[in-house]
Order: sequence, then C-alpha cells, then structure tokens
Amino acid sequence: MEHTADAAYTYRGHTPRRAPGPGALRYVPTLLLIAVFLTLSLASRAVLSADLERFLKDIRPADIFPGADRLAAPEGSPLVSAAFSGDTQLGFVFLNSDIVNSTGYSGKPIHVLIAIDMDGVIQGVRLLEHSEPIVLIGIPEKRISAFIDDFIGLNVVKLVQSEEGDHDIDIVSGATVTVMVIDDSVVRSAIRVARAYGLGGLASEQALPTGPKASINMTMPAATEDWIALIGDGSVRRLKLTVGDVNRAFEEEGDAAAIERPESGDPGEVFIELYAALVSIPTIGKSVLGDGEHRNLAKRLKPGQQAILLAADGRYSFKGSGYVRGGIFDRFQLIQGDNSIRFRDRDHKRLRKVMGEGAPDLSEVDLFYIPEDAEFDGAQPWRLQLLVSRATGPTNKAFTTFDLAYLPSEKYLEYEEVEAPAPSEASAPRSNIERSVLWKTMWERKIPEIIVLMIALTVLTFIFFAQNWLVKRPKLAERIRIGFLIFTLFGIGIYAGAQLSVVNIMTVFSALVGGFDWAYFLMEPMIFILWGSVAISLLFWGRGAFCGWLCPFGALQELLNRIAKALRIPQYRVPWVLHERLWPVKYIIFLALFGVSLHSLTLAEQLAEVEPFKTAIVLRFIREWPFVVFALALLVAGLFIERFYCRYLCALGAALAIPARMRMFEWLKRYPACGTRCQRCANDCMVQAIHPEGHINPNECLYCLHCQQLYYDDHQCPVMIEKRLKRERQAARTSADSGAQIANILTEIRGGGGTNPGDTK
Amino acid sequence: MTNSKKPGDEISRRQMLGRSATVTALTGASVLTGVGAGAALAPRSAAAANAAHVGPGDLDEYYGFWSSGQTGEVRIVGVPSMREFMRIPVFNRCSATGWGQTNESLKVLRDGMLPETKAYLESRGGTWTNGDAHHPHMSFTDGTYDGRYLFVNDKANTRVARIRCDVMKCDKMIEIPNAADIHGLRPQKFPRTGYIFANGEHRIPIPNDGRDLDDPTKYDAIFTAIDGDEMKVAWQVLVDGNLDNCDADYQGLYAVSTCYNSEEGVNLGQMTSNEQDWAVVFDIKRIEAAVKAGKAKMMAGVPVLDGHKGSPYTRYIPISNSPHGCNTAPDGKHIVINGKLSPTVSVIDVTKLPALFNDNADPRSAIVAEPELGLGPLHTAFDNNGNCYTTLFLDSQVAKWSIDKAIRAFAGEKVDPILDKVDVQYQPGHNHTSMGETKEADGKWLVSLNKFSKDRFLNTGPLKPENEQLIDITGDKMKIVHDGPTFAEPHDCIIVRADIVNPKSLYTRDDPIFADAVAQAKKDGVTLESDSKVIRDGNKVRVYMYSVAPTFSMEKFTVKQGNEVTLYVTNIDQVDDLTHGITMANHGVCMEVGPQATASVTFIADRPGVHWYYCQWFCHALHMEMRGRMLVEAA
Repeated sequence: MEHTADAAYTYRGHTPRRAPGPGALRYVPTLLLIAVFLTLSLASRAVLSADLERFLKDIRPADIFPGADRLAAPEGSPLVSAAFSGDTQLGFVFLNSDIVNSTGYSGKPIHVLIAIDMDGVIQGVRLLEHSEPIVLIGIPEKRISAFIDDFIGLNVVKLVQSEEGDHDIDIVSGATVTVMVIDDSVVRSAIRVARAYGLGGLASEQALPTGPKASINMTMPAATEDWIALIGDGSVRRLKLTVGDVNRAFEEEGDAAAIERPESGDPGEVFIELYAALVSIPTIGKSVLGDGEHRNLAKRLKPGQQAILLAADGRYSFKGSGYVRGGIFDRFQLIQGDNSIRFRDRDHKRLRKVMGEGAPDLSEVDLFYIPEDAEFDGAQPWRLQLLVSRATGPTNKAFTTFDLAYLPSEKYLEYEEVEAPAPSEASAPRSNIERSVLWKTMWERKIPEIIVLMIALTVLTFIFFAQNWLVKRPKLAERIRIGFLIFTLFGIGIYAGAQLSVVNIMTVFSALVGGFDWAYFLMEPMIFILWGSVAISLLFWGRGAFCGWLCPFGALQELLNRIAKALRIPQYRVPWVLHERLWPVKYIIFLALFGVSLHSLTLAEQLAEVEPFKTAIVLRFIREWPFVVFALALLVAGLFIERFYCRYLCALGAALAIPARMRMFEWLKRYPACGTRCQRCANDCMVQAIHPEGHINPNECLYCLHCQQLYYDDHQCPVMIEKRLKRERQAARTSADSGAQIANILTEIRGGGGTNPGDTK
Repeated sequence: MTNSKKPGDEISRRQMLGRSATVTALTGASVLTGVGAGAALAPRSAAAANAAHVGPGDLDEYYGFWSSGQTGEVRIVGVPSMREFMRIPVFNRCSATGWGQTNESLKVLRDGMLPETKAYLESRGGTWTNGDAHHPHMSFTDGTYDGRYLFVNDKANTRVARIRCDVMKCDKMIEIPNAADIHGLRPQKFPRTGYIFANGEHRIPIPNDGRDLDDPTKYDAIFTAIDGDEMKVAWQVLVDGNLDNCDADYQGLYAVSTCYNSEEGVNLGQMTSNEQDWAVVFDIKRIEAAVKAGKAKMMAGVPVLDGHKGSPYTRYIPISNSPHGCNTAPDGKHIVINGKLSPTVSVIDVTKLPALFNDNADPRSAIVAEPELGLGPLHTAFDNNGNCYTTLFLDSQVAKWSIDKAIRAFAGEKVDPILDKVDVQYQPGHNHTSMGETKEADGKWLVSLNKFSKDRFLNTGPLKPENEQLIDITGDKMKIVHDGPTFAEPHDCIIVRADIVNPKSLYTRDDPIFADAVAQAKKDGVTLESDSKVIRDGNKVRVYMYSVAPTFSMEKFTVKQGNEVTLYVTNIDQVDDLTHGITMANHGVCMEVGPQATASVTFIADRPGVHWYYCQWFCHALHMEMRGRMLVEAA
C-alpha cells in the first residue's frame, strides 16, 4: 500500500468482493486468523460457557455431522464432542460460544454448532440460538441461515496455513455486526479446535515459549510527554489514508460496483488520519488525556484493565453511525493474536480533545475501555483494524480494511520471571508462524533505519580498509572518528535503541541448544544487522571494530571522557600491574552470566543488568533510581579512567574477545622499536591495550587507530622522526653523531608529551 | 409607572439589522441597507448564501414550530439559529403559566372532552395532565401556510388541539370519539383548512365499552376529518388495517394514510408478518356527498361512514412493507409513501387517483415510482427543485433523490435517482424543509429530527437529549451546519417563513380566551381594568384586581377559611413583553397574566393565616416588592 504510515506499519487486510445476486455482498472477512501477533497461551483461556451438552440433547448426530451416528459426551479443552460413524471417528462437534466470545448486538452470545472433520474441514454449521434484534425484525432468519451454510466445506487448516487466510462470506444487509460476529466466532473457534486436536496435521500450539512475563509498569511515575515525543516513541501510532489510498484499495479488490463509485476529491486529500494510543499506560494516558480525564480513567479501570484512545480527523469516521443501532462499533476492531475485540457503546467515552503540547485538533476523540473479560494483554502488541465501507447501492456496501499496529514501548514495561526458561528475548513470546510474518513486516517498517545503518557500516568498512591513507591525515581521522561516535551514540543508540548486549549472546546460544529459528532473530532488524557485522568484523579486526566504533555506550563513554579532558579533569592512569589484573574481571562476569544462562536464561537476563546499556541507551535513564545511579557511576568512572567499563567490566566485550582470537588478519602496524626503545603509543592508548613490550593486545584493543596515526607521524614517532631528520640532514648535506640524534629525538618526544623516563634506554 | 425595559429604538435597530441580513442572504450580493451597522454584517452575509449563523440581535428567517412528544407542549424555535424562543403548553400542566390550573386553560382542556372522559376525570383532577404531542401543522389557504392556527395531535389521550397563532396559545382541544390514539395529523391544503385529517392508529371495538374485549377481528380503526374552524368532528370513516401517517393533496380531493398493520394483528409478530401493507386513499368529495345524503351512521354523535375495502369512499394501494411517513410533494402531483421496513419509497401520482375510484383501475396503477433508498425510510421532505429528502432510520442517513429520475427509473430507464446521502447523528425520524409541506417550498433548510444523540453532546446521564440537525440544502451536497439538543421528544416540526406568522404583542380586551372572566365581572358589576373589589357570594369569593408594574391594585384581601376563592387579575400594562404573574404562596397557585389579558384561578383558602401573593414574572426593578397579602380568618 502506498498510504503513509509513520510509527505504525499498515497493510490491507482481507477485503470484499461483490457477488452476483441482489442484496448479497461478497465479503472477505477481516479475520487474520493467525494474526500477525500471537497473544498468550490458549490453555489459559477461561472456558466461556459450556452449553454444548445442553444443545446436543436436541440434535441428531447426522443433522449436524453428515454421516455421523453417535456423538460422544462433551469433554476436553476446548470443549468438543467427538462424532463417530460406527467406530470410526469422523471429527468433532463443538459450540462457537464455548470456545470464543460470540457476543452479538444483543449482548448475548450467538450460539452456532459446528462440525469439523479430522482434516479440518467444516462439515456442518447450525445457528442454534441468538437474540439478535436485527435478525428478529426485518431480516428473515433464512438469510442468516443461508449465509451460515456457506461455511460448509471451509478448510480451516488451509486457512491457517495460507498467509492470505481469506474466505468469502455473504454480508446480509442490516445485520453486518451479527454476520461479522458469527463469521469471526465460527472461524476462530474452528481453528482452536483444529489446533488443539491436531486436525489436518495442524501443529498444535506448542507450549509457548515462556520468558519473563511482561506487564505494564503501573508503578512508574506518570510523566507528561509532548505530542512529538509520543508519536516519536510509538506511544501514539498513526494511520493516515488519503482518498487515493482508499480508491486504490477498492480498485485492487476489483468490485466493479465499488470502483464505479470512487471517493470524490483530490487523491491527496486526507480520508482518515487515525491515531491510537494505549492510554492505560500511565505516562501515555496522562499525556494525551490530560490530568483530569486521566484521573477519571484511572478511577474507572479495574486492576489490569486497559483502555485505548482513538482519535481521528478526515472525511471518514471510524465510529460511523452503525453502532447506534445495536451499540456495537462496527467500523473497527482490536486484534491481538487470534483474539479480536469489538467495543460496545458502554465501553466508550467521547472526549473533547487530545491533550499534550503540540497535539492536533481532531474531530473525533474517543476513549474505549477494553472489557475486562476480553483477555487483552496491554504489554503485548495489537493492531487496530479499520473497516472502510463504500455504498455500492441503496442498501449494498463493499468493504476493505486497513491496519494500524501498536507495540507498547519497552520502556513502559516490566518483567516478572515465570517458570520454565525458554529461548526468549526480553519481549513477547511469539510463535513461529506469527514470527515469520512479523519479521518481514518489522524489516519493512524499518527500511529507512536499515538503509542508514548499512551506509554507516559501509563507511566504517571503508575507514578500516583505507586506514593507512586515513591515519596519515590525523585531523581528518580525528573528525571522522568523533563524527562516527556521535552517530553511534545518537543514531544507533538513542534513536534506534540498537545496543547489542550480552543477553543476545546468551539467547543465541540458548536457541542453538533449544532449537534455532532465524525468524526469531530477524525480528529486530537493526540488532540482526549489527550482529552480522560483528561476526564479520571479528574475523578481520577483532573485538575492536564493534567496541570502538559501533557500541553506543562505548561511544557515550568516549565522548564524555573527551569532554572531561577538555575540561581538564585529571586522568588517572591505572598502574600496569593493577591494570593487567583487572582485565580478567570482565571475562569472569561473562563466564558467570553464561553459566547462569545455561541454568536459567531468565535469571541470567536479570543478572545481565550489570550491563548499563539498557538503562543508559534503550531506556534513556528513564528507570528506577538504582539502575540510573549504577549507570551514572560507571560513566563518572569513565571520566577519570577512559572507557573504564569497557576495560574491566564489559561482559559483551569479553564475549567478543574470545572468538576474536580467530582473527585472521593483522592490520595494526608496529615498528620493531615499538616497546623497546619507545612507549609512546602504549602511553597514549586510551584503554592501555599495548603491552609494555610493545605488542597490541587484540582482546583489549578498541581499534581507535590512534597508534596508527602515531605510526606515520614524523613529529611524534621516534622511528619516523629519525627518518625525517635523516631526510632533512641529507637535504642539508650535514652529518651528525647518531647518539646526539637520539638525544635530540628524545628531547623532542619529552617536549611533545609524557614519556616515562624510566622506560627509556 | 414606566417599564424597566426600553425596547424603543433598540428594537427598531434590531429589525433593521435583521432585514438587511435577510436581503443580502437572499440575493447573495452585498446589497446593504444604509444603516451604520451594515458594514459589520458584510463579512458574514457575503461568506455564505445560506448562513446558519444568526448573530446577537439578528432575527431568524423562519419560525419553526416543534412538537415535544411526551412533554406535551409545542415549541417555537428560530430557524436557522435553532434558538428556542417559547414553549406553548398544550397537553401538559405548566408550572410557569398556570396552564392546567387557570380557569381559562381548564375550560380549553375540559370542554372538548367526551362525556365518558369528563366523568372519568371528575374524581381525578378534572383534566389530563399528560399528552404525547406528535405532529404540529399550520392551517393552509390555497396550498400554503396562512398563519392562523397550529394543530397538534395527542396520541396519549386521543386529542387534537388548536393553537391560535396571534397569541400563540392553545384555544381549543377536542377528544376524538370512536378512535384510539390519534397519530397522523395533517390539515387540508386546498382550498383552505378546512379539515384537519386525523388518524386513529390503534384498533379497538367501537364503541369501546367492554364488548369484544379480546376479539381483535371485531376491532376497527377510524379516520377523522375535523372542522378546523369549529374544532368539531365533521365526519369519520372506518377502515381496514390501521392508520399511521397521513397527508392531503393540493387539489382538495383526496387524503392518504399509511397502514402498517394490514394484518390487523395485536402483537409485533402479527403486525410485521405481511410483506405488503397499504396506503388508503379517501375521496373527500364522495364522503362529503354521502354524509350530506345522510348515508352516515351517527356514532357518539358524529357521522361515520364505512370505508372498509370495497366501499366507494376508499381505495387501498398495496405498499411494502409497513409503510410509515406520508408526504405530499410541493409539485402538487406526487405523494411519497415511506417504506420503513422496506428500503423503498412509493410515489403516488394524484392525477391517477380518480381512475381508481371512477374506473376501478388497479390501485397499483397510481404508483409511478418506487426507488430503493436505503434501510428504514421514514419520512420525506421536499425542496423547490423536484428533489426529495428521505430519512433513513437504520442507516442514520438522509437520502436526497429526484422524483423525476425515480419516475424514469421506474419506467425502466437506467438512471440512479439518488443524488446524495449524508450521515446524521443519529437515526432520524421526521424531517422537514423550509416551507416544504407547502407549494412555496424554497429548498433552503432541512431539519433532521434524530431520535438519538448518543455521544453527540456532553453526557447528561442515562437520559440524553435528541439531536435536531440543521442541514443546508442549497448546494448539490447536503451540509450539516448545526446540532440542536432537544428534550423528550419532538416528533415533528414545521418551518414557516417569518412573514407568514404575525403574532400580537398585546392581548385585545375582547379576546375570547378570557371572555368568561369578562362576563362574570360584568355580572358582578366590576370593571376589570380599573376596579379592585372582593365579591362575596356565599362560600365563593371573587377577588378582582389589576396589575401594573410594580404593583397589584390590591394590597390585601381577607377571606374565611374554607372559602372558594377566585382571583381575577387583569394586566393593564400596555408595553410589549410586560407579562405579570401571580403566585399565591403555599397554595400551589401560579399563573401568567399577559399584557392586556385577564386571567383567573380558583382555589380553596383552607389555611388560616397570612399568605403573600407576588408577581413571579419579572416585570420591574421593584418586582420583589410587587406583592400583597391574603388574610385567611380561621373558621
């Protein structure tokens, strides 16, 4: 789709086609059955009701399952009754309302009995009981029944496996919501049954990976953010559709009647500009609702209950007027995993405006309380599906849908350990199928960031390959380095939050042991790319390429230290003896974490808080005070001892240093005289990675290239100075005593900056 | 005494402003009259040809007359400002004006009731205190409003009331015999009103005296023509099915009513079971001739004709499905029947009606168009360009469509009669255009009376107002320009050009409303305008006083405990907008006394002691001091 979507990605859902025959619309429902995101374990889903037994009393087996002569007593979860022909099991019979929410217009469930065979094909459907007023008055029940018969033959396994996942249903004029609820509940309950009982080879929903359980941090003090910040960090997501977007969407559907009736006006005109925010997150609620309404909301919400704000402008209303009839908003639904939530008018409060500095003036601002029994998890991603309808006749409509995806920002979440460690990043447990869809969308969503990162990596590669050329131009090299560090800190770090962590390493290892899935790691494109680059650079340049150039926290330390130096803050040089004995601390930390991760990844992830990265870079210091104090303490230490954290504590650095021993190339040049006659580079090295005997320790080197600048500097490197002086002498055709030359050189070096007299010959 | 308000030159300036705004609005050019304030008006007037905004001090272009449903009153509203100006108590009991308590209002409320109702009410306070006012319509002369009267039905207690537009007070009210629950009501358009046609909606046994209680096959519905001048039933016609809404033609020949209960059922399932119901056409000339020829049966004192199927007086045109609204187009030729449960409206051509009666032509031959508009078409309004505006209840929309195109489509031409649709908030019932039910329809404003406001206004608790939306219909696209909250619950309204309605500012002393008081004063030898007298007549005490701001002419009067006291108060102020009132504290007595009017109220003075009476209608800077004492001597 060409419609714009910032902060949220969008795509067009499943859409309707016009069918022949008066009054009947072909409507491809908007159920994304294997929704883009998955929610929680189905096993935890409460049983909604257990009416199956009651209804089965009055049903002859063959009436619901053709060919069946016996229905077993209902059992299992989800509740089903096995259908038999003689001794052969044909499949199962179940009630939609036992398994999923099927509340219709009336506020009461619509009971539909469904028969499904062992291949996952629906064999029978019967509307048993409902209280839908629209069905009762004006619209003949037989039309609803006819629509229900269309489910027969639907293979839900194929539906699950195809990414498209659409099937056609008839929309019955005037009963839209009823029809949607029936369709939704029949298909979703059938999928659950198919999954639970492995119909048609459909893998049952395995015990889902349980990582730390995320929840919204309700104790975090609510801040007030301005609109730009809210949009910027995804607290408020936007879906903007133009007239052109909507016309194109209908054109792609190919419904002639709909295409004949395009939206009039400039294709660039806003059709709807829709914003969504999870306002039950305190900071978001306070920011967009204002203090008064936020207080009202807090008072109204039960513990754990969530609420969203929807606000829009443009010619299309996301509310419409359909909800006035039966009290159900029929133009949008909230989808989380295979749970879809429609809102009733009583879950709704209209507000005057969106608060927050810089917030736009929007014509519709509405608060929706997510029903307590909706099994909505505020810490998990969801999407809002907007139904766009177009009249194709006096009583006919065509539909298309657009999605607005919402991911609650990490910074508003907190984690609680649950049993059974499993491969998991510190984010939602997600199943394979969902992930495979998700990672692609994540990449699509981050295209600009990915492009910028790839350019940066290319530049860095160029810097390294052209290092000899560059280091001869120390001023340029210095500027490039500072510039790159600033980009790393603000671009990779603060903006993109792409801070690699030792947690990644533990997760990868854990995944290698427990079952590796590329899709899982592909979900964070920036992290994935950075890890790819680290893997390559380890072979070429060792640990330093990442630690010295691409680590945002490293960049932060180095930039702060430079400021400290400029402010003449005294630098403490750790005595070599102590320095050398502090190095191993980081290895010990890493090995300890690694060891713990083999036992409990979750615990290891918690212990990995010894890394200040999450606090400083990902959460930008918006955290409980002990974390902030810890991170600040490390940064303060870095003001006196450059890269203090990198040198002694960084478990990630340690983890990288170990495989970096496989490094195949040696790019850093040394003179034989280095470390014997001269300690200039060793003394200048910001992390003291150069041993007194002259060799550069690749485990410690951050590849800042400073020693390489010195290598070519004919005013600072004794070897170069010697060459220069020789050159000058030859030019002057004079000769001098070589001992005096050395003395001159030494004098020059001493004057130029801090040599250790004891080390000189 | 002088008046505290100074209407003099201020009002003339307002009128001037209003007029200049009207001129520019009509021409769309900046033709301004030469008043100083004209320049200030220019930007607004030039901005839109059909500006909805009526500034402070400016006058509206139209009177709107609104019913109020179960509130029982009629309201006067300015259009397009949608400002509510006045409430006219009709079927309700009004605390402010004493309607339902004053002797003048009790006479209106009681005199037109049937004997059995009078008997029933005798032990129940003597009057109904509730009513369900649905359809306010103005009297017509030659196809357009004439500004004489408004008529309005009471569905709750089977009444029809008349409001005199010169004083904007109800002056007559009658209960309709042989009928149950008057719903549809419309005046005769031509040559004049004339008749008021009133639909008895519910079927009952006639007479409804306990016979055939649970035998719905013996029930009947009845169509009534009321003589609007006399406010007496002229004749009635029994029909099959039931009667919902009605309208009259522009020729004075026919009236048409919709029927949603052709099944003659008594519950929802029965009443909605037929796919086809009908519209019934009444041949007024045949009915009049038959009544004159004595063919009518007298029932409850009125002539009743049998109009069941097969009678010479009626024709039944099949219409699907439970039709509701019935609206005659200003072209004088077409009547639109709104399908309700059918997404269609059916257009009757009145020129084809004579053939139905005279040649027994197929009743459906009168239908010349039947466009499908959307779900739940209820009522249709009209502009002056052959376009119709139909409310779609279920779709919460108003559909604009062309009669001409609908007729062509019905004839087989491939043309879409629907020109535009607009979403309204929410679920519209009646609608009306400016002058739209007259031949002078002007196509400027449409009001959609939406049954629900839901979230449209600040929340007022579980009971929420309705929402009456003003829609500009001068362009190709309808445009909503104003939301108007209203209380329970106007069903219908009319929008009348302001020049047609010319109320007085002062009563004249010969007004029949208080003729009884004048007659009584004459008997008692009292001059209402200048005497302050207490007449004692056995246990009855008549207290005559007049009021002039800020005094009552009588500072005190004395009665004995148990006396039946009648207060006669005449407001002799001759200043516009100087209404007085009198409230007898702790006696539940309060009434309005208009300028130059006499009002009277009767009560038992049963509480010995001093009781202050005071003026409750703010009249003067010394309004608080405008009071006196009733001294009640213990018996």
